[in-house]
Amino acid sequence: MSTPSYNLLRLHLAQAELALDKARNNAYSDRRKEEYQNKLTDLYTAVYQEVNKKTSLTEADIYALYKRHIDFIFKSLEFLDSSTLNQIPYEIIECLNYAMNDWLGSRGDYIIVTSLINDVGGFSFDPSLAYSDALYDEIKAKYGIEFPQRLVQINLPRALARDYLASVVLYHELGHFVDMKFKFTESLTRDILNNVTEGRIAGKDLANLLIYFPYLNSHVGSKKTIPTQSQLFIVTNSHLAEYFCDLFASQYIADSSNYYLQYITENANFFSTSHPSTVNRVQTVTDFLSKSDNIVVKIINTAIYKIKKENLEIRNEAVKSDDFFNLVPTIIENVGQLHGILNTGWRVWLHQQEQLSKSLNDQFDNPLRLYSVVNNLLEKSIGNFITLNKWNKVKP
Amino acid sequence: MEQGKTVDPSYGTSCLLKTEIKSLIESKKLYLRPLLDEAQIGEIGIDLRLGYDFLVSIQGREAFINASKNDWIDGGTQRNINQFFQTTRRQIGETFILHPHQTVLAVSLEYVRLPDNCFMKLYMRSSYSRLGITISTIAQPGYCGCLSLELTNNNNNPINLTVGARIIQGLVYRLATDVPYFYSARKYVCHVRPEPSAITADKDLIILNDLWKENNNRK
Repeated sequence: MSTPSYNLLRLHLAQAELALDKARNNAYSDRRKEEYQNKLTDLYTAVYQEVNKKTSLTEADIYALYKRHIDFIFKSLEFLDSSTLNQIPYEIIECLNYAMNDWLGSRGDYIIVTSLINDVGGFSFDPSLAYSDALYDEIKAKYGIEFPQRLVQINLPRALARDYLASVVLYHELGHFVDMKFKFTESLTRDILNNVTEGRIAGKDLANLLIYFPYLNSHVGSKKTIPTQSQLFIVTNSHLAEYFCDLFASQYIADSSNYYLQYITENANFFSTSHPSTVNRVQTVTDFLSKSDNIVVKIINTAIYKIKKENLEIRNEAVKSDDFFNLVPTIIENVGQLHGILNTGWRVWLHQQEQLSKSLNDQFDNPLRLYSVVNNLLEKSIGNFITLNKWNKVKP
Repeated sequence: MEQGKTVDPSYGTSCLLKTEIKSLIESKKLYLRPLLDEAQIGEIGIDLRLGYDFLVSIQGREAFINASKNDWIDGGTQRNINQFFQTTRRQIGETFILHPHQTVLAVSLEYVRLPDNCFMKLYMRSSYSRLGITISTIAQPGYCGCLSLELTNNNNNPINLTVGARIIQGLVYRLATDVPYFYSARKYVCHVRPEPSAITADKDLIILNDLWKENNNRK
């Protein structure tokens, strides 16, 4: 058999073999990644054998089955290759693991992997593998290969891979994973749109809601059902998801991500189809942290409670120490402080640069030196917490 | 030091004892973080552990490391010294193979801040010296950061080291006066990963290179 599509499939297979071969010596910080990679090799072998033993393949076989399975190998490798111990921002990923465990427990079903990309604004969550249950089931049924874990794929800029200030954005991206896992905002979108169109929300609550979702104004009491595929539904859902992720992150890193967000969006007072206005996002986080009334916090908390019997809560502890000004890493005493130290770093950067500069005898009054010092002290504070935990677990 | 005051002749020549070191730590004049085991503080010094970040020397496309400001010798293409090293990380408990005659830059697991009136001399612990590993490092008064460990294996066989193992002994010496670290310009500040040599930042090298130019009509 030698059709062009068959030969292209063979090309794809050859490319996959080479990629797997290159990945063979990857050293990971987490044994589960190695096990996952071994499963990918098993999958490759199974696909290779199937393709070779068949005397004829339909276009449907090629595209609907084998190509997708090889695509899956490549997608997984893209993230595993960037998640070796040498490349992964290990310390910050450990912080994210603690946050993920708060919501999913510590069963180890999910592995956070990162892809370093050449885009300085390229923080994002890629949901393509974490929720591909159908694909995993198909692979299990067809080849008998079972992947015990799912990959939680987070993209981050290569240039900022060791930047503990910018890294607070990763908590927001983890929020997308948690939101999709529990479908908090998906179910909430339908409820809100129904309540608005049916006129079940009114008065002060309606006025407050329209501050955060101004485009719903023309739909109040319209009695029309908003289709799931409509732009209104998609935009509302996307905005709710962003609000959720901001709040999710602020549980751990307080208002740290607000600063960065305000800067990179130039504190935009307008919304896009994907994101609410920065002003509204910052206000929502500020209200949550100060425990002030806020309609967005209220409805998101209601949705979370309905599904998971939990609420958003402050899950970080402020680190009160002058250690950074003594130019030494802080001793982190608990997981709350592990998250809280990132906020400490931001506080120093935003409000106490002069004090830090003074500790260095003012000779390093240049941003790069201060940036290095703050990053190094954050990295070592987190790293020492991880090291001590490991040590105390096994010491006699 | 006050003028006319008699100086203890032991200043700078005898190292601090366990009780003195512990006292400095308690009074937050000396920092060691993390200190995994109190027993690291011995009778006359501190055992320090191998950290998890390494810079391994590699042979790149450049013929040599130019540790001068003389740009005639390399055709004006002086490369960043980083180019001659490759970074690699391990986890505590993992191992790292130190090959014969290879230069590896590592750091101590402990982040250290010394008092302004103390400096630290670093030696391999005897068990590691006997394997043929050498080190030559001193930490200045007031130094802050993980200690840079320039390891060389003089044995003919590769040596497998454990990350987190106590491989270094630091002896602390007290000076008669404070010598604050930041009173002069510093190239190495609060580092937590190994840093390649910043030799070309030495201002002397510029003067020496100008001298060479003068002597060789290169101005």
